[in-house]
Amino acid sequence: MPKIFNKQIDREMDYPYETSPPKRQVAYIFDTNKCIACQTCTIACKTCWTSGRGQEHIFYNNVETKPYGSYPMGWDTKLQEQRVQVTWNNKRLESPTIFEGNSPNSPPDGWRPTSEDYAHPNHGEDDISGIIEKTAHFAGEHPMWMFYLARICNHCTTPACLAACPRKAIYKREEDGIVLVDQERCRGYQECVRACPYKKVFYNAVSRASEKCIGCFPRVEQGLQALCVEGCIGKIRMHGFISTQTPPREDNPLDYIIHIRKLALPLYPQFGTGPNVYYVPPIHVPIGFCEQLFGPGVEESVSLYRKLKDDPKLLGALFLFGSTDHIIEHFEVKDQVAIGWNAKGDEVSRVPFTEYTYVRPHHDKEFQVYRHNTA
Amino acid sequence: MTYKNTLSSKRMLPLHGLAGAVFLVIAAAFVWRMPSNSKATDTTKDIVAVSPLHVTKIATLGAPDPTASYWKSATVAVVPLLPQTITKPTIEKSEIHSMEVQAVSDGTNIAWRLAWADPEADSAVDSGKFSDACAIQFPIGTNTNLMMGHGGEVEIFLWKAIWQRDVNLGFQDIRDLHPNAWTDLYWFSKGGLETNIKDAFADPRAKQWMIALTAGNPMSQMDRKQPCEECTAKGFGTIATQAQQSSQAVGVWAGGQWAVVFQRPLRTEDVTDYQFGLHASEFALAVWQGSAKQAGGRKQFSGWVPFELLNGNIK
Ligand code: SF4
Ligand code: SF4
Ligand code: SF4
Repeated sequence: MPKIFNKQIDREMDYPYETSPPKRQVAYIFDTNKCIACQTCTIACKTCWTSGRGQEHIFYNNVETKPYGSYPMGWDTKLQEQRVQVTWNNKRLESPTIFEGNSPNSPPDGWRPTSEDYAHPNHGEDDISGIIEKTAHFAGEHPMWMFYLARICNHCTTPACLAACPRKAIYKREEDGIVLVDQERCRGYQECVRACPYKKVFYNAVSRASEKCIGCFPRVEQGLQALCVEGCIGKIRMHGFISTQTPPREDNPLDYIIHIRKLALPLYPQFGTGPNVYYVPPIHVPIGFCEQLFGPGVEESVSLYRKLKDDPKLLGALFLFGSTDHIIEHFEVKDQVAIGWNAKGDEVSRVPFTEYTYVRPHHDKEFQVYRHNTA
Repeated sequence: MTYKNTLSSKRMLPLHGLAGAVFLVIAAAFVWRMPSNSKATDTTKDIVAVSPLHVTKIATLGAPDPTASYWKSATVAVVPLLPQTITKPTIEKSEIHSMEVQAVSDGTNIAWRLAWADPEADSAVDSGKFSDACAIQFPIGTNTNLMMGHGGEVEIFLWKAIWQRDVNLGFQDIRDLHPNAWTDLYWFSKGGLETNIKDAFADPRAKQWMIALTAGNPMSQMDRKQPCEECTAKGFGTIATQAQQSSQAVGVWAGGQWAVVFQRPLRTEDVTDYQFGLHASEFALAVWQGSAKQAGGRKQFSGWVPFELLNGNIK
């Protein structure tokens, strides 16, 4: 089996195909600290892409409450239960990825969800990690916790869905790394559904083919961010490109946040698919739990996040989240203002660190009315 | 390898037990010979050496019918099956160990009857749910490997229990799978889940979310006339539905057994079709057990089995 270097696990790993990185790779950053589980993202995606019959259970985007929520049911725990204990040596993964240690003729390690697993999209919603005892009180740290985990397809660097398809009906686009199921070629074997560790390919029993998040490619082709990103009420998301064939750029907000500052981390890097949705981990959740999900970089990331107020460039980059429909290719933070430009060089976003306020006179002479200003 | 013998009145193929044994040896050899196409041809030659199944001549073939009386007197070949372990994804053990094959011809049309034991009929498809299915393949040209025609080309007749269900009862819809499911709205559609999908989604705007259907994926057909497909394959993962379909099929499950008949004119105008004739010929089989979540490469398959049309078979 060919060997591929996987940056996220700091070592070479087995992957069934020789691959070279796409020209550039779509990537997303989700700041879990800001998500309010309003599900606007879910609905934005569903209304546009999966409103047909056969797509009832298909959520390219879903938001689940950790630690107990999951969609489909137990998508992460079921896979982990059938695998060996994950071990890291510093930033290097010691244990096998889903592509490794299987018998030679096996596809990536996975499991098959049934329709029952899709029957409870919001189980565990808003549940906290444990029972609150009678005398419990706040003493600087919350004894119980939960957080919202928004999930879409990761448009992985080494996708398990693609590796598993015996028909080669799944492909990764050279121009932007978006992973798609060829809707004309798929014969509904569900091998991709079984193999995707994130369970982000779904079987459609009406079209009798498998479907997955399309990365909003028609929007990306117009330089626009995905619908789930644009629609995000909490402004927790940014969508753009990370550099793959050149070193990360200081003025690319995604490169900067992910690769240069390492504030945002992949979800379950130990699976080995090289996911391209990067999360700012929740700062109030026990590090141990977060490390299971986001790998060994959590402590570093949390301490960076806690010091954001003294880190204007990083803070400014985060202020650009949810500030424009356009994909920001360049950004700059200057005089307490974050500015973003698109590929053509047009300014598409300008966010001041302190929101402008306008105090109106108590008496409006033009309309002859009195107004109250509230703070 | 053991053989099942469930049909009462049958004339067994002479040597077929030997054929099974030979096939086992060949199949084992085949695994080793996989990488080279020319070697694969040798394999074909080896198998042709086995005594062929004679296509039984009958007066007239009507519509395909697995229960027709002429099957009672047609020669039966009991063909041993092996688990597919050559390419990914594989199955670890066989769920179905052999199939009974018969062929009859009236000089214009040929019918193949494939029968195998299956305690339950699996005809629903859904997440994690798979359909029973079977296929018979014929080599096109000479350089044809057993596995999906790797190195050459094969024509495959494929039947699925879900397609049979679609034909018998109408297209399997969500309410058939999940009678208590509820959905508030499907944009531009008429009626809710209780409305038949073809009527509810007649408005082209409502079809916008049916991408595979719109892309012309043959899997997504809603008004299937036949429970079978004629396909062409040129190696692993290359199966493709032919543009022109000349086969008919009927599958019936009864008493713990599937019996499926494929029927087709001996000769067709379609250049992608296998043409039946008096030349030395062979077929190979595949079967999928839905309850064991088999689909695609997860199947049982046979080696090449020789068959013969006799002079009187062709008009
Ligand atoms: S729209 Fe944004 S804030 Fe709301 S659930 Fe989705 S990711 Fe969270
Ligand atoms: S998240 Fe799953 S579906 Fe998406 S690219 Fe990765 S393996 Fe494929
Ligand atoms: S990127 Fe587009 S298709 Fe994918 S989850 Fe977001 S809205 Fe849906």
